[in-house]
Amino acid sequence: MRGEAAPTAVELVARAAWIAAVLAAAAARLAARLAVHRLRRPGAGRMGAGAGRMGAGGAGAAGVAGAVAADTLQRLGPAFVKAGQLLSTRVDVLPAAACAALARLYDGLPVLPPPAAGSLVPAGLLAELDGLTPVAAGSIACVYRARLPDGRTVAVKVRRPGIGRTMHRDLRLLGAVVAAVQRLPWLRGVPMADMVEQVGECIRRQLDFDREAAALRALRENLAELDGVRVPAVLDAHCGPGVLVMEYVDGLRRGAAPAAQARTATIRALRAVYHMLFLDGFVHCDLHPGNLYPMPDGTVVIVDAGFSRRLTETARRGFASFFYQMSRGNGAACADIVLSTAQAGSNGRRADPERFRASMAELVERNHGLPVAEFDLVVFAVRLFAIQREHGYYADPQFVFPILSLIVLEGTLRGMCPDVDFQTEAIPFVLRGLMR
Amino acid sequence: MATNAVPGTIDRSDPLIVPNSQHHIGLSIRGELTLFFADGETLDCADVKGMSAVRSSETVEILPDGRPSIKVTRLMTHFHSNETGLLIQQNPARPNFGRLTGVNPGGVEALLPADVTFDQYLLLSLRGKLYINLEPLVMAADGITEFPPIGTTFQSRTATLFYDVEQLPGGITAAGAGELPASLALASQSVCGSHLTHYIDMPAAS
Repeated sequence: MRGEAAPTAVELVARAAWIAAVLAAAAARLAARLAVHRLRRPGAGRMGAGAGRMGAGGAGAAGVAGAVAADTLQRLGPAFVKAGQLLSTRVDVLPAAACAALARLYDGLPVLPPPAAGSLVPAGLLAELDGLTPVAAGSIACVYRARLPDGRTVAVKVRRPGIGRTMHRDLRLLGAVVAAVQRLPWLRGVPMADMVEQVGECIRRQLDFDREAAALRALRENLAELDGVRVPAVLDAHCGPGVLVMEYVDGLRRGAAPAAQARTATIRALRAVYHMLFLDGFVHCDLHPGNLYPMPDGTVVIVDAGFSRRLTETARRGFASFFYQMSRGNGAACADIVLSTAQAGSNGRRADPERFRASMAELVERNHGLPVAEFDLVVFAVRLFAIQREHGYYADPQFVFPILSLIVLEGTLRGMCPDVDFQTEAIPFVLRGLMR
Repeated sequence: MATNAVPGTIDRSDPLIVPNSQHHIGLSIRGELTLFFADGETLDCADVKGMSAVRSSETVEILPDGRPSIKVTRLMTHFHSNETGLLIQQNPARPNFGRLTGVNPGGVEALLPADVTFDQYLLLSLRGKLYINLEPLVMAADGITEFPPIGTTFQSRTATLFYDVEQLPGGITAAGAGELPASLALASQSVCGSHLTHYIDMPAAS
């Protein structure tokens, strides 16, 4: 980050040694837990993408490995926690049970005490803020409530001290570690280096509060036409380096809305995501329950746009076309769309477009017209990504991130309103997206 | 206009009259027919009515699973909505084929009850513009017990995009849109519950 010195070689070596020690301990712990797991459930679970959906840290070796990984990442510090959070959404490359285990990294992060946070706020702004009170803690930043001299209550997001330098250092080390472990037999074919690069890019983006402010403004403007969807306004005049000041929305608590209102709000959130995906091409990719709040009046509040992606116009249209063709059960057309964006060379295999087309057609036809209760987006997406790998392709991140945003939301949606038909709700937005 | 003017001598639920039949039918469509526009406007057309003509093939095929199946052709489609000014006709540049497939295995005697689908290429006229679809609007009904399936609810399985004919290279004969975005869409929830208003032609049983 600006103003933060690059890590020295000595620092990198010392940190690498410490990380190696933590990883060695984790590997030993993992081996022990897997041995116990095998004894208790012989033959249960296998490492590898494509495992089915399982509970958090629950059945399966992948769940055990995910739980150990979550503990280890938490120990290694915020950069690794952020990487783990992002990986928890990557059902395209990791088993679903491992993702579920990693998702617990969203909770239980320490709050930066207000005096420490205040020391990071520019003096001019700090003088204006009355009663800095912590309300949320993330791996990169903490959020505080405060009052401005004009009486407005604001949310002040303060980047953790030294986080840019720490992230920069640890991402370099993470890249080196991944390059080494990618040679392990059970990790062959998992695009680890690409994942680290993508995760690194996401983390770097989240460190940039100017970018986040711009993302919040774009989302707020894009979603303004939707009823009952709120994105807090950015108070530009009060923002500074490492500090983002926003409109404060009272009552952002999980479970604050009664069931009926929570259902209304969740459907509104779904429509907001479809608006982002199919119409705007600008997507909030991190809509886990901590960033999405159903309110008692049935509105939904979307916060923390640090992990947002702008799709190219080609990708936006391609994504809308994919959904359109899927709704028609046209697997061949879906395959052509994916092929036009995928990159060949996954897993060291020769790309095989014909077999890919056949597998895609079969997948789409199998899922076409399924009743709501039987269509599982996670299962569908996992299989879609697996088919790409099996036939020698990598998914284009332009395609991966929008699907991941839907998957992250789907978890919330399934719990809140299991009868909602994803595809039917999507159609008006898909159609409008194709008419742009 | 007479309602239910079918002569009592014709039993449309008799599967043996399906092959080589031809029907010109007056229909009133009851249900939802929704158009979506690029700017977010939706137009519900609830008063659509008009005429349709259908012919069935002479040849009955037996599918690998033993069910009989017969090709059907939509000869003419002409519907309009007075409230919205929407006119729906068949695109004369493309054939409108469909298929009727018996639910149970057997020969011609098992053609009914049947599942039936039509792939429709249409010409929509609305607000001074003409629109066509390049992928078929698939209308389907399951378990029909008489042919033509009057009184049956047909549903379009999917949404279908329509393009402005003036902008399409080739006009109504265009096979693809290239980079041209669609101008409107017929929503997937479209339902055509057909209701007989008159019968012009009679089936020709073989």
